[in-house]
Amino acid sequence: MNKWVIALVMFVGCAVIAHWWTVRAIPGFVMSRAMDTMEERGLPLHGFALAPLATPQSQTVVRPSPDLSYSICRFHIPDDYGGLFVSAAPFDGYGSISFFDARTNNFATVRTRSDAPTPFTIVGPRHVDAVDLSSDVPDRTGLVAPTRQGLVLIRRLTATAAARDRVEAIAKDDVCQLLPYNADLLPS
Amino acid sequence: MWRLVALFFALGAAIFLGMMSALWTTGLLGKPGVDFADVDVAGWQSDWSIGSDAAGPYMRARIARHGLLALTKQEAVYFTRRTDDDGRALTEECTYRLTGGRQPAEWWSITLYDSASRLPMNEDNALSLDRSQIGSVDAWGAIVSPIAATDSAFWISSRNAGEFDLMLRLYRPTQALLASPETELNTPSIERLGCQGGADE
Repeated sequence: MNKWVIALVMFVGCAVIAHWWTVRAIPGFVMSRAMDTMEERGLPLHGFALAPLATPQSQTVVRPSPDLSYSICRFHIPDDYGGLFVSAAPFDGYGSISFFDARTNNFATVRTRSDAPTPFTIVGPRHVDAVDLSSDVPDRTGLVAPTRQGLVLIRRLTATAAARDRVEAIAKDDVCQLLPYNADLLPS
Repeated sequence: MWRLVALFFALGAAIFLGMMSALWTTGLLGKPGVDFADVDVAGWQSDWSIGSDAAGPYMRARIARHGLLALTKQEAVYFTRRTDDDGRALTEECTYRLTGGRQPAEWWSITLYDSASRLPMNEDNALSLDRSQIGSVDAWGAIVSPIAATDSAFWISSRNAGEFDLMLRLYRPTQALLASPETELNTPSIERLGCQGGADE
């Protein structure tokens, strides 16, 4: 075979591999940048923070909704911890709690309750094999985080000033904390 | 020696070409606005795989760039429109009348974003319109323009947006919408009323 043909095939092959690798790396890269930005703006690890209402000046992610309030918890479950306990305070309006892994997958979304907290246990990927998620702990839902890092996001409809005031009053009761590795705390 | 240099140069060029083409096809480089194609109802475009594992690598990359932290379709669906009813790009140089009706969802909103998928940098406090503002009326209308509307109760500001798009969010959509968006979505219309500085041509 002509050496120029071989060279061309190698050139195209390298370009295709680089293209494919880049496409697959983009979600993780963008998520990592977003989490870094949140950290720079003071959002804590393993704790909910109520983000300022989305405005042109305050936006940290693309396409924020100015009609929703966002309580955000960044998580990074170390190997020697079992997981994360998350609970959304009750809210008498539209609200949801959603979970995103480090590759931007929305691995769970549940509507928040208006009469009681909405609790979850999130198990780190290292302990997946040790946990039976076929049944839940009675008062909470068990989830497996596909990656050790990710975000928990509580959305609440705050299209009016009154709704915004209500969210500011209750958001301090949202909980996001690491759980030590303890079988009693994990769904079984 | 020269052959080795040429080999490294060719390898670097191939990697550069591959990476740049990836950034372009996913909208991170030189390709403004979000580009959905899975669902298209009268110019309002969406993709039902947003936020889910079912999304392919290109869609996941585009969403990461233009809709990070989007929800799956069971919780919310997102429709984007970049053109008016005559197919012309939406721009802050023109004024539009946006009209619509009830939507097949528990709650909905329409928000304006610039070509970088950001809220436009203005302090007009008129970035969106949502169901709680409209109430339960069957038909509603709003003006989209860079200057406050005087003849409409509702105004979405396009000041400093350049070319923009409108995103319709439908939270808790009905099963009927998910099954048949072509017949169930009550698509808002976007009529161009006029433009500044001859942009009407």
